[in-house]
Amino acid sequence: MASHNQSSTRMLTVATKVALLAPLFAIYGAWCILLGTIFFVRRVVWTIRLARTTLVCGSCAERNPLHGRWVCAACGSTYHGFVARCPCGAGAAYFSCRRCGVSLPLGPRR
Amino acid sequence: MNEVAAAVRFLLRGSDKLRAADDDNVAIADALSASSAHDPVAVRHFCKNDPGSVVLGQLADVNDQRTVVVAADRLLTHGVITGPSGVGKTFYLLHLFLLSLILHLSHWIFDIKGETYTLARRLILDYADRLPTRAADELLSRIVCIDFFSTAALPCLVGNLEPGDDAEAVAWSLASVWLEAIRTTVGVVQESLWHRPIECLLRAGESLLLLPYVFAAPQILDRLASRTDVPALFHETAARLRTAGRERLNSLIARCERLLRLSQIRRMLAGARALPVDKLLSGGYCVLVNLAAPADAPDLTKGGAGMLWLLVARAILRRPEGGQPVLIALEEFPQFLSGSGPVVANSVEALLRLARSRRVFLQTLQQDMTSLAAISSTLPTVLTTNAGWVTLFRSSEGYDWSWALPSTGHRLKQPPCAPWEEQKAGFMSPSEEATALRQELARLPSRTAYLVDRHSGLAGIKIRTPELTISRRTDLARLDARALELGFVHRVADLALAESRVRERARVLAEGGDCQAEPAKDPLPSSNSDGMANPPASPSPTSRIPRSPSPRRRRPEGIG
Repeated sequence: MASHNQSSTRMLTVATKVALLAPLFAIYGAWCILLGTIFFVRRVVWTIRLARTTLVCGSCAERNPLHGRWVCAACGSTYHGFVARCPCGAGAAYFSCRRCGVSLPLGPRR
Repeated sequence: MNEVAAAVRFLLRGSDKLRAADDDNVAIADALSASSAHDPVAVRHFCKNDPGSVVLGQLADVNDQRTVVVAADRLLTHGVITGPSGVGKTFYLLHLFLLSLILHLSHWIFDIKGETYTLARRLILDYADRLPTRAADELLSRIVCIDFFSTAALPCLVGNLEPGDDAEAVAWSLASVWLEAIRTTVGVVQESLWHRPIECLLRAGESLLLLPYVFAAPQILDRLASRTDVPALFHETAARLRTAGRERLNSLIARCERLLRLSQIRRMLAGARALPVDKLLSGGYCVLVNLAAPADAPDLTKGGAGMLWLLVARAILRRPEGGQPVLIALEEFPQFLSGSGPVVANSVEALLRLARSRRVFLQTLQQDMTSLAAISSTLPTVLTTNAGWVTLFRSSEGYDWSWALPSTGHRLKQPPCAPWEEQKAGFMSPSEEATALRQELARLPSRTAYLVDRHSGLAGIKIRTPELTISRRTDLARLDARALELGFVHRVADLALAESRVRERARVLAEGGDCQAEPAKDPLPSSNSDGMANPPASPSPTSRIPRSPSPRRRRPEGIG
């Protein structure tokens, strides 16, 4: 009888905990899904943006080409090609607008 | 993230590396091009092959020989062509003249040396031979050839005043040109003795051939006075002449006869109908004027040029705005001006400022700007300021042409000549580039020039002027008929008759003939007359005209 009571109590406790925590998990799950969606959309948007030929400077509206001759800040090499990808493996986070010098990010903020 | 973007880019656009390398190659080629002779912006401006463009030459570059073209309507502006003898100025002018023939523009050439006149006539006939018969006839009907020292037909230089002409101003200009042509200066007293009779003859509608007769017999002016609305001027001028000493009047007569020593000049002054420049300007004609005098009379070339220019300048200023465009080319511009004095130089300066609104555009050809500055210190500045086109051939003079030279800032420094010399990397400084361009300008080969379109605001580009082949044909007389037919020139025989009539009239007036009974009229016979025998030889006016009464010692009123 006593053991039956104990198991009932435990189940009730678990049920209570589940009942109390379920909305939090649901909220957390929804938050994770929302964040993931946002990050995914941002990545898609940035991928589309970087897939174009030029990146428009928000300061002076200059169209900066994304391919050309670049100098890697990490290894110091001069490389041809896509701005964000040095042969050394380092990925550029930004580059300077050729007209006004403002740094243009090459991806979403971390 | 970057890898995904790079992969997407590769899928969509191919290799970024290859495209970057291609862009580098283009940039290097542009830099090399810019470091050569040309401003890339100017090259793009001149090498747009739009419909309606005309060819002015080709780029003078070993690696780039594109055709230099310009919209036809942009030629309608003042132009300057500068370069020493033999570099191709004349043939470049003839190329522009050919463009005018093709585009049906009115183009005049005033040639003081006679060479361009002959070449242009040959060019016209060569071009007409390539056209269908009807088009060739239409072309030849637009050509008017005037030769100042022809033995067949001559124009009349001075005639009745046109409405709006100021007799005093015209007389003063003519007197100044006349004196300058014979390189003679007169004192203050003689100035009035010189130009007032000219004014009287102009007001009376008489030929200027009467001038020496007036000096010999001032009573001619008294007899002409009744025919004008200012008889007092005539009487006062005659009185002033009578009070002048005989030696002074004889010196004035000698000056007249110096200019009138050639029969062509006398005959050009004999008619009362001056060359109808207004009709020429509005008629769409291409006019070739040969001002080259015989070898022993260069002063008469300048005198004739000056008198003709005064006619043309007055006609241009009378012209309403917005008419048919007319291009007027002045060969050997400094020589054209030098014999005519400051009056004509000032007139040209005024026209450079005012003629554009009348759709008359001057093209001047000169060997250097220094000789222009010797005539008028402001003329080179006025010329280059108002010119829309400047074609600058080889030049080593001190005139500052830096605004015309293509200083791009991309000219590479010279590579080292020897292995041990230091490598000078980079571009020239502005001063180094200016020096290099000046040196290059002084060494330009013939037929190579800098072409500057001042309306574009760009520096010049180095061009090679087009090839122009002109035959050595001699059947040029075909072109003379049109001017005679239209009445722009008159047969020499008719003018000789007119001259003899003027002489006879002078004799009648001097001897007291009734002026009213013989009103002034055009002494020229009709243009259809078949010519006359040579007029009787006439001695000097001082020997034929009876002397005026002894001068009265009375100070004239109103003159001085």
